Amino acid sequence: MRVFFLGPVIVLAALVLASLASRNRLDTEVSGSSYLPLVETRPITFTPIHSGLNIILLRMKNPNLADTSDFVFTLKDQANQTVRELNFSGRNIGDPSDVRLQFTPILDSANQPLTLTIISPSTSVKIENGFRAYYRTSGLSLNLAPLTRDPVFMVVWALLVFGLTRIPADPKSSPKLPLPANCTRRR
Amino acid sequence: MPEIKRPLIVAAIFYFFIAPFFFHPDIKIIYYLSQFLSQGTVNIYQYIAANPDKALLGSFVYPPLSYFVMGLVYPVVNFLAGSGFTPWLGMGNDAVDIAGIFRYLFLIKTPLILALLATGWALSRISSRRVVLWIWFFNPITIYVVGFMGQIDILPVLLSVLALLLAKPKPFLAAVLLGLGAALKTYPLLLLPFLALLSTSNLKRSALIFLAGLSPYILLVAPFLTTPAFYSDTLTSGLTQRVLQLSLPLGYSENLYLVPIVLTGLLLAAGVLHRGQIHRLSAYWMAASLLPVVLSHFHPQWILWSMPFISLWIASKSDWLSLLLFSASFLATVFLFADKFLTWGLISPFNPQILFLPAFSNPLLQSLSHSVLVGVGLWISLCACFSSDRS
Repeated sequence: MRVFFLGPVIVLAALVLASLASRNRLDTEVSGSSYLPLVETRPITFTPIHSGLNIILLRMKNPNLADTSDFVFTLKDQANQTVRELNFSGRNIGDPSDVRLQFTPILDSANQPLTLTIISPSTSVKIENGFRAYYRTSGLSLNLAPLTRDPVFMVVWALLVFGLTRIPADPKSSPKLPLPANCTRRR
Repeated sequence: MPEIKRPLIVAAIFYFFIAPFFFHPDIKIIYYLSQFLSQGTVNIYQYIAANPDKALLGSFVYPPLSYFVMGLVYPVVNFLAGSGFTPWLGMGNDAVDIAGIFRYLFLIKTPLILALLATGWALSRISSRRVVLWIWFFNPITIYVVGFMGQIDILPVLLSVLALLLAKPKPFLAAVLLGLGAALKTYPLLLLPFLALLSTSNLKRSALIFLAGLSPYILLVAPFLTTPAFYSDTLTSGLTQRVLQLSLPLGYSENLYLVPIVLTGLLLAAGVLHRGQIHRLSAYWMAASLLPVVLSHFHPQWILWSMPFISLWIASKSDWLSLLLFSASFLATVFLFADKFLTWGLISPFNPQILFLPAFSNPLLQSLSHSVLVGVGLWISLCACFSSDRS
């Protein structure tokens, strides 16, 4: 029976490892619907929920990987002061790819409106009209949020696995042979 | 039957329990491309070559039967998974941060877990030792390749074990099963000559068994031979290219290729020393499916090809040290590939941001662990092929 616990042990170990190995968590997600030329995009303003914002993930498209222009990414606060700035090249952009812009955590980012801009002379690179922002947790914590995203499946799956565990325990599934009349069961 | 029921049920519980939580993009790509069968596409190689915009995640690199089998499975999985499933298949390799990820992973792995359980059942019919099932289901390699990655290699593995089960009473049927396996993934063709040599001492019968095995493969592959993309997609990827990379330079642009040397030696040993000795088939199949893999820069799932035969060998000899060294050196080698989907990516459904971390990479440590893997592979292959008893 002990082998039954192997699955839960492996899953729990993976959950702990995944939670502890990366302390980044999703803060804000704006789903994209289409790719737009850079010149048509406007600065995006959003308000992070958490402090410690340190990653912006943009989905960009560099057709045939041809454009090697320079790009400047900036995050500005309400007073239009540059909070973070990063330079990158078209060589970092695939067709398409997630461009991860990682910077020193903004310690007081919670509830502070930030404006995101990308400036470049590029004419061919396109950018999705959405983004993701991540923050860095200050301490170690288990990330249980993904486990709650599909409750219907989790219930069905749990019932299935539980049903399977009942099969070996069901005495009807492994009937005992009748003993000869002159024998007794050993205790 | 009651003796095998417990390991089968425990394995089913274990694999269905872990299936939703571990992710590898390969199986998603296969399902994505196989969906085109439902849309009436028969020649996937030609279709992708003509519509490169559909090859978001790469081309179909397996023989055609894989496409047809997975294409028939796709509508069932799609129906159970719901409306978000097909769009998810078309997303990038890092598409784990979505609501239905556990449901999708569970459903796409379910047919493979059923094949894994069927392989266990077939092994239990070959060996009277119940421990073979525990070894097969609960060794780290099977868990990694089927439970974590969800690789379709379990399908030809099932056919190869069924072929082993039938090799003695029905060698022609066994050969046909190998041919069908080769139409899923080409490697069972490596096993076919050993079946032909070991199942009979009669040269004509050997040739007929060999042809019986080749026939289903050729029949299934023939319609695609006029498609150039079939060659470039299936024959230039995988083992066929990599087995020729381990070589010794002879000078004057000539090389000695070690894998063909080893396979030639095995073939001669089977044909000269052990002709007609069908009880040695499992040992030769282990050597023939293991040595070309460990002597190349392998994909992790390729090791699964030999695992049923290794399980039979370990169960008969209780050679636990070899199993321990083999599993540990396999995991060390694979974890040190510069591919984060073989490590962090597997547990990314728990925390998608883990994909921000770089892959582990240490060529020296990887080379050392790979060398140990080769050492153990040679040891168990030689012991199995040249041991004198019939166990």
